[in-house]
Amino acid sequence: MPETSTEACLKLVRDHDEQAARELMAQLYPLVLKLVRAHLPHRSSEEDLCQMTFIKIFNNIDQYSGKVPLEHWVSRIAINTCLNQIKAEKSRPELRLADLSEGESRVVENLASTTDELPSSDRNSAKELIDRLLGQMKPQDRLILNLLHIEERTIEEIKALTGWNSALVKVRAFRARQKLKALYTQLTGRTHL
Amino acid sequence: MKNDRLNLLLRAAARAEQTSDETMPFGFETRVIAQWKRNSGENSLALFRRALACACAVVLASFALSYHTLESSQSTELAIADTAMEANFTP
Repeated sequence: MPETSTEACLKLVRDHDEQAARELMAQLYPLVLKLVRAHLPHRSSEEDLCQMTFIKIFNNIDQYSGKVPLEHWVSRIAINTCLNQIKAEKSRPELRLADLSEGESRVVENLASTTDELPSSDRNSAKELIDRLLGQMKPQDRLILNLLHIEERTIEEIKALTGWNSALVKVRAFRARQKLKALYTQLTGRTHL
Repeated sequence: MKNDRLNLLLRAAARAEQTSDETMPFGFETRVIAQWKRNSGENSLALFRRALACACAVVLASFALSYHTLESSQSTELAIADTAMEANFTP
């Protein structure tokens, strides 16, 4: 099948054309995967969440009006799917210092001893530590911190992805940061964060 | 932005290596399409069931209404016949 434009592809998908659906999936898969990986709940696999996201996309394709870029609409569905899954996983076990891996403990120690940027070798451990801390937070707090600080998105982008207004985004980000700070302090027992 | 520990931690986490494997798992497309088709089939069936239920309700309602009308018209006819007979036989 020759490569068709997104518009034409969408039209074919609305008519239940399988080949067009495969083409659209191939086009959108990297975006969906990236979002799912960034907001992955603890007990779900990324493959399952990608699958759920695409099924929602195809089931609701008639509702896509074309007023916003397709990627925005798809991102919103992917994020909401992850958010719903996080909400479904209610238990958030308390994190203790002894639960941290060697790398995560090193990050905590390095943060305690320096005010400079962490070495690049600590980045993956820092991400794991942040994921653990975020895993203890409410889905919306987790979402806003991920979008703002880990994915480094702008307020405008977050507005488009979540449907929240600017004030709400800022307030939620502020409160979520305070909660993250409190969790880190509770974990490490250090008050000067 | 202040260089506090939380910012340092968040910045380091943001710069962590992303898993670069973006290949679709084997059979992924097929599973999604099969589920999509099944859902749309179920939706059509559900729509058909709803339409059938509505049609049945309309048929029953119209039957009940016409039965009531038939019954009442029949009793009126009998009453008229009774009156006529009584009128004929009364001296």
